[in-house]
Amino acid sequence: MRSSPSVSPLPDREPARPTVDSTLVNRAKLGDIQAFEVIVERYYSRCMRFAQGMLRDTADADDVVQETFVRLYRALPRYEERQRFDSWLFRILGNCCRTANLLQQRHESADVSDDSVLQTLHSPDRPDATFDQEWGDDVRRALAEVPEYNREIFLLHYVEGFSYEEIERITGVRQSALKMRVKRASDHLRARLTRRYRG
Amino acid sequence: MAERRGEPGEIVERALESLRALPPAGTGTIARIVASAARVRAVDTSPNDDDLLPFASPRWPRWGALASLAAAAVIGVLFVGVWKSMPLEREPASTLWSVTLPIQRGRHIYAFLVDSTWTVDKRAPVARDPDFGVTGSVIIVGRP
Repeated sequence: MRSSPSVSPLPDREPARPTVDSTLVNRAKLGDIQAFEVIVERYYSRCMRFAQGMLRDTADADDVVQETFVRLYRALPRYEERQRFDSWLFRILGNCCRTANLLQQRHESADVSDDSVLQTLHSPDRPDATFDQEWGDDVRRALAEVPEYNREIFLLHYVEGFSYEEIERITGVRQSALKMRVKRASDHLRARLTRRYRG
Repeated sequence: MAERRGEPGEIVERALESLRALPPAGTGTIARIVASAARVRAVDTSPNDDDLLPFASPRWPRWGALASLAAAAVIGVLFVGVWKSMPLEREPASTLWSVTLPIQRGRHIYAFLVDSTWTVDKRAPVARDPDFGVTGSVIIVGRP
């Protein structure tokens, strides 16, 4: 029986994940705002992509990402280099997304159903004019139906390219449970999209 | 359709291609975030002195080599969400290390940095900082 995935978390054509060197982080820790700006430039798009996948209301993604970077800047003096920088950043981002979802849930009026929330989901802006808008919207709706605790792990692993070992450090959840959550999220997407596109 | 264990499957792979698209940063977005962080940092470093109380750190006993501690012992305190650090000073004719600093009323988290390792105060309640997952100690400061 096969027990390990034969599919890599990221396809070969995906550019390498951005990294920051310790000098840049140390400058930002000391309050160097230009060093911090470089960090924001390198990680902004990945953070937005993750937030758009995580949030019940994707229109909040911009605010959540901004809040994440502000919290990051304030917490930088406590960053320890033995942690991977992007793991630390995505831990903060995950916390911000869960908080935003909780607030969104509380503020939704009782007569707004999940269906209507799902209908408001839209695809991220794409420069590619041939992008299949309908497919993208269906994917995002299907993803939004996945429970938050499974969706987060699925996105961290298959979209952001973190290994299970790294995700365990980010979330504190054991790897066996992480693999189950990813499988459940994959199963849901497969079932939902297969039903939609293959009758 | 049966999928092999551990594989997302063809249709999920197609979905992932869509989800992996990186959204571009809008015009002025990076500058707005950086300006916002700088504003918050400026507020953080300008506390209202009227609202500060003296806070004597827990006295830190000598652990490990004294020479090493002299260079590395630092207390980090979470002031209303912002970490600041300052060196501990050795008390005269003693093996204890301490620092006195102004602090706002409320609940604060602190830890000691000894030889590049964050260490809790074993005599204080323990808290987990939700962002960092590093254990800290809790102190609650009220009006004397």
